[in-house]
Formats: sequence, C-alpha cells, structure tokens
Amino acid sequence: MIALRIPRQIEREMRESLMRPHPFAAERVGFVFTKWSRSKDGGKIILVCGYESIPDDDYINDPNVGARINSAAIRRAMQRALTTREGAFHVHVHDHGGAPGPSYTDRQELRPVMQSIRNASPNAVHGLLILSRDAAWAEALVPGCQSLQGIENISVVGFPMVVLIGDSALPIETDRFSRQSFLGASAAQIIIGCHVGIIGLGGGGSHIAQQLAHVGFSRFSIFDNDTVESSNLNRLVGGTHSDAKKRTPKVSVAARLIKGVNPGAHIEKVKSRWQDAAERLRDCDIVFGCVDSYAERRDIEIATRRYLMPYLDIGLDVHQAGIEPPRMAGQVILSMPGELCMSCLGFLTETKLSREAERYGAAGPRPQVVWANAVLASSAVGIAIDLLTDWTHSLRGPVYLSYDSNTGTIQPHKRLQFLENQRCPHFPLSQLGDPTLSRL
Amino acid sequence: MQFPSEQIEELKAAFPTVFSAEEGGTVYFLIPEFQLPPGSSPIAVDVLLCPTADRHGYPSRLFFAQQVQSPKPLNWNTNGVRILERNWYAYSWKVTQQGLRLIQILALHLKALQT
Repeated sequence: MIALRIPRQIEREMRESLMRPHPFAAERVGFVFTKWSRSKDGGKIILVCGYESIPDDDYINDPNVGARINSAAIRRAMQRALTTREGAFHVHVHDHGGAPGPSYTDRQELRPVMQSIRNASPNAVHGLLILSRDAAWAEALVPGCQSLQGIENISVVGFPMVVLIGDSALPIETDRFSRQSFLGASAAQIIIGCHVGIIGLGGGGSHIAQQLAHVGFSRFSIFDNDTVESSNLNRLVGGTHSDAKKRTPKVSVAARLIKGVNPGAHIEKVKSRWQDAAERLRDCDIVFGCVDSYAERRDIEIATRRYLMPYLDIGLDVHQAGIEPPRMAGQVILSMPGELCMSCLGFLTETKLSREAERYGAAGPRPQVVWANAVLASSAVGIAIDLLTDWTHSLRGPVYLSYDSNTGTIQPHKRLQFLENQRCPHFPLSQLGDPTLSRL
Repeated sequence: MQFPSEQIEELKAAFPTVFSAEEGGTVYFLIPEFQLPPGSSPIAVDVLLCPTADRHGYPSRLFFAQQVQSPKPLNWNTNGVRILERNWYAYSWKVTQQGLRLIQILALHLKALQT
C-alpha cells in the first residue's frame, strides 16, 4: 500500500497559495516536496516536508488550460529534487466538494513533467496531487516502476485530522454504526479504514483495544512482548485465569477480545518490543501508547513524529507521601506532529527522565488499577474519535488531560494556560522520514 | 545544538568517517566501525555519541550498536533503545559533559571498557 501524509501546516500553506487569483491563469499550481520510507510488505509511506509556489511570472498565458508553467519553474523543482534527493509532487486544486480526479489534460501534460523531475532524482517518489475542498487524489511514480501508481491512503495530519481512505468499496454494515451516526456521514468509512497501532496491551492498552473494536475499528497493529501473569488479572481486560496459567501473550488476549466484537478485523500481532519491529508501526494512521516509562514515551513520540502519526499517550501513577492516603493521578496527552510535543507541554522533562534513570523513588512494580485505567483509556479513545471524525468541531489544539482519581475529575492540565512555545522547536519538518546523517 | 568548530574538527581528525544527525532536539555523532579498547569483544562496532543530556536522563551517553564484552562486566541498562531509527545499547556510566570537549566526553565514556 502507498500512503501519503501531509502535515496540516503545509496543507494550509498550500491551499492558501493555490487559491489566490492569478492575473491571467484560471488556476494556480505548485510543487510539494516529499521523503519516503518503506513500511512492511513493500509498502511506502510518503511524507510531505515542504511546499513551493510558482511565481506569477512563471505562468504562460494559455487559455486552453487552467494553468501552464514555464521551464524555469520545472527546472527549480528538478534542482531541489536533485539537491535534496526529495521527491516532488505537482499539486493543484479542483475547487469543488467530493473526490477530485485528473482531467484528460492533467494526465496528458503532467506525466512528462513528473518524468523529467524523476530523471533528476530517480530514487525519490514523485507524483501528482489534486486537492478538492474536502478530499484529495494522488498518484506516485515510485523508484523502479515506469507507470504511476494510485495512492490508496491520503491523510492530512493535524487539527483536524483528515484520513481519506481510497478503497470506497469497504463493506459497511450500516446497522453496526447506527447508534453512533451523530459522528458524521463518513465516520463509519473513516473508522473502518483507519489503521490503529497500540503499544502496550496491559491495563491501559487492553481497554483501548476493546473500545476501538466496539467503535468499529477494523485494522490493528498491536505490540507487546509480555505474557499474562496472575498479577495482571486485576486490570487486564479480557485476561482470564487460564491465560495467566498458560502465560498467554498479551497480544493474543487483545486479538481475541477484538475478534470477539469484530470478527472481520485485520490484526497484526507483534509479540516483541515495538522497537524491534519499528517498520510495522509506520503503517498506522494513529498510535496509542500505554507504556510505563518516560523514556519509552519519548522514544515513541520520536518515532511517531518522524512518520507523521498522531500519538495518544496514557499513564497512571499512585503516589504516597507520609501518612496521607495514596493519590492516584494520570494523564492523557495527544502528541500531534507539527504541534507542541510532550516536552513543550512540560510533561517530559530532563528531571523526570534522569530520576527515572536513577530509579529514583519507590522501586518494584507500579500500582495499577482497572477503574483508573478505564477512565484514561476511554478518554483517549474519545479524543481519537473526535480527531478522526471532527464530530465536535472543537478539537483544534493541544490535548493534555490531567486525571485525579481521588476526586474523580479529569480536566485540561493547568500547564496548558502557561505554555511558553506556540511552535515545537524539537521536531522540525526537516526531520521527517528516515534519518539523514551528515558527514562532518 | 551547535558545537564549537574546533571540537568538530578535532573529532573529525580522529574519526574521519564521523557523521552527525539531530533527532528530537538532540545532536548525535555516529562513528562507524569504531575500534574498541583492547580486551573488548567485538573489536569494532558502530557507536553513537550523545554529548548532551540524553532522553534517558544521563548528562551524556555513548551508545553501541550491540552489547560489548569487556574485561570488567558493565551494567548494560539501556538495551535496544531506538535512536535515529536504529536500536542501540548503553551501559550505565555517568560523564558530566560540562567544560569537556567532544573528544574528551567520548574518551571518558570509553574508560568504562578499560577499567
């Protein structure tokens, strides 16, 4: 499968630029620049990392077509592709609602342009991208392949998130979604087509897997190298006494849970650390993390930002100081590529990481309980549904929820009022995709 | 983060094949096929120097592409951490980088393998 992911900030810049009137051309065109990575089974993830508009003077006055650009504009795109080894996609807008498609002229005239750019940078993925008001169409020229290939999955990653699933023939059992029709006309299609990753299938992840299956999600990659023990049974949804006895892998318990609700679900069970199967994570449209350590959260955030996947983190801690009753608190954070990261939000700090490294504080297994995990997991699932369907029309910025189990409250974290940065300095778009090593 | 050019040159002079890369706001230096001190096994391995606070709480860190056997057993407490889309391994060894040059930070981390 080929997937194209566009950061919301570039999509916005692109639309604003392309919708400006031109002195004589009927429409505007531009180039987006891309990096690509392999995913599992020969799939490709194409990541948009930049956009360049075409200056007014580089348009040729030709009333027979919407826009025609001169060779200087094409040479500039070739030059950037040659210098940076990025791919280039010719982009323009069809100003209507619904799925766009290439016109006869687009097909005839743009393919030679893309072939020329490919000659400059043969190992990159080039192509054509057409945006409508609410959808997109794209084809890609991948290395070693002579013909353009359709891109099945196009997403705009940001607030709001848009996942345009190419395979509109996905069967939808309408009755299955009837009680959640308020999510929107296309919600069922989005939910069925969305590929979810869950890292950690313990107390938090098992709840998330179960709830996503109920909501109707059908494509899962689930990661956990652990097996069920009797100490897990106080919170592992779906885990049984027999699983603990047989040391059933947690991914198998989660898969059984999902299949019980949604027998047609496609589940990739990865019974290893996600770091040892990182390519499999890249296919996901959204990732849930239910891990114990701050360091691992940071590692997941880095991996998900690199490949433009929103990351929803949940975590719970129980603290006890002196003779006071224990305090149980947790968080739900959405780390959205292109937006503030967990360090910007003040959640991941050097102090926390270094204390963790020194095994500061109480050692031994962390206390976890089913009811608090359920609150955090439910909140994370709710945020994911809102992000994907935009049913509230209100999810437009950072999500950092603070949970206080002692008082039974979950609310936006007070740090959100005092954020220093409006833009994340830690994850620039130049670091998308596979790492670039510079020879000193 | 920017490092003084003379420190970069010094590193380059010692290891002509050194690369740099940035991830999550941290700069790393990759030295391919680094020759380890005598008594280590294997004798050469890719290493990744993180000269500033790493994301696991150390003030600086030296990561290895695999665990290394040394005359004195070390506490390999970071195993398979994902950096720059590769898995890396590191022993617990604290080197506070304040006032040290890049090459000195590297040397002090390697001391653990020699003791």
